[in-house]
Amino acid sequence: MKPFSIENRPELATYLSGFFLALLLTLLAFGIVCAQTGIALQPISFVLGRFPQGAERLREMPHWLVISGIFVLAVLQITVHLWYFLHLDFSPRQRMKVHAILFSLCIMFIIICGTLWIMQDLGNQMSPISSGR
Amino acid sequence: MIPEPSLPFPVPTEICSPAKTFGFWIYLMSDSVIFALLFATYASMSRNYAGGPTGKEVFDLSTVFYETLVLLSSTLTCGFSILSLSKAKTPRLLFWMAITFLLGLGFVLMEYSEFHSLIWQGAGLDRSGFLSAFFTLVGTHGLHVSIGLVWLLVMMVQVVQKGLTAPVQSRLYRFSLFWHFLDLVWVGIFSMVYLLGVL
Repeated sequence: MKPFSIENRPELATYLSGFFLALLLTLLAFGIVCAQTGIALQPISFVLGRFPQGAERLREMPHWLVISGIFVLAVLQITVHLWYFLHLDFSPRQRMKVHAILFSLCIMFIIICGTLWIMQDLGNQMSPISSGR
Repeated sequence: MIPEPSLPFPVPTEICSPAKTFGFWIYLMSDSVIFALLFATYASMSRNYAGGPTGKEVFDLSTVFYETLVLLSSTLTCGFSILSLSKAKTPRLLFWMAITFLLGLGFVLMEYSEFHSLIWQGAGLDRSGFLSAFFTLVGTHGLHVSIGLVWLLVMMVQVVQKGLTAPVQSRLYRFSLFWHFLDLVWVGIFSMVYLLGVL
C-alpha cells in the first residue's frame, strides 16, 4: 500500500528540475535589470563582469524589449511553477483544474485590462491640476 | 503464519481526494483573482507619486533578490516534505517542514524590515497613491505567507500528536499547494513591481 496513487506520486526529479528552471529564469530577469540599471547584486554582477560583451548587449537593449522580456520571463516562470510544483498537466484527471485556471485567467484578463483601460481613459480626460496648489 | 506488518493508520489510495484537491484549487483561483485586482490597482497607481519618492528611489533590489531566493528554496523544501510524506517517513517530514518554516519566517522578517525602513524613510503607505497600492499588494502577499507559517506550525503539531493519519496527509498536501501558489504570486510581484519599478 502506498500513500499516493501511481499517477500523482511526486518525484524528486520533478521538484529539482522545477527549482533549477525557476532559479534560471529568476537570475535571467534580475540579470537583465542589473545590466540595464548598473545595480550591483553580488552573484549576478560577478557573472556579468565575466562576460562584458554579453553585459554590454543587455545594457543596450531597447526599453520596450526589456519590459516585454521581463514579462515573458515571469509568464514562463509561472508556467514552470504550475507544471513542476502544482503538478498541473493536460491529463484527463487534471482537466477540471485546467478549466478552472482558464476561467480565472479570463476573469483576471478582464479585471486587469479593463482597469488599466478605464483608469487610463479617465486620466486622459481629467483637466491638468494647476501646479500652484 | 506471521501477519504482514501493517501501518498504524489506514492508508488512502490517494493522499488527498480529487474532490478536496479540486475544492482547494477553486480557493486558490479565487485568491489569484484577489491578487489580480491588487495588481490592476497597483498598475494604474504605479506613476501616482504625488511628489513623493519613486520606486527607483526606494526599492532595494538586493533585499528583493534574497527574498526571492529564500522563498524559492522554501518551495523546494516544501516539495521535499511532500516526498517524505509519500514515503511515510515522519522524522524526515518534520525536518523538511521545519526548514520550510525557517525559510518562510526569514522571508517574512526580510519583508518586515523592508517595510520598516520604507516607513522610516517617510515612504509609508500614506505618502502617495503609488505607495498605498504597493503596500496593499506586497502586504497582502506577506499576510498570506504569515498565515501559511501558522498553518505549517499547526501541521507540525498534528504530525507529532496524531501521526500520519489520512486527514493529516490530506491537509499537508493542500498546504503544499498553498505554499507553491504563494511563490507563484511572488514571481508576479518581483517582476511587475520591483524589476519594472527600478528600471
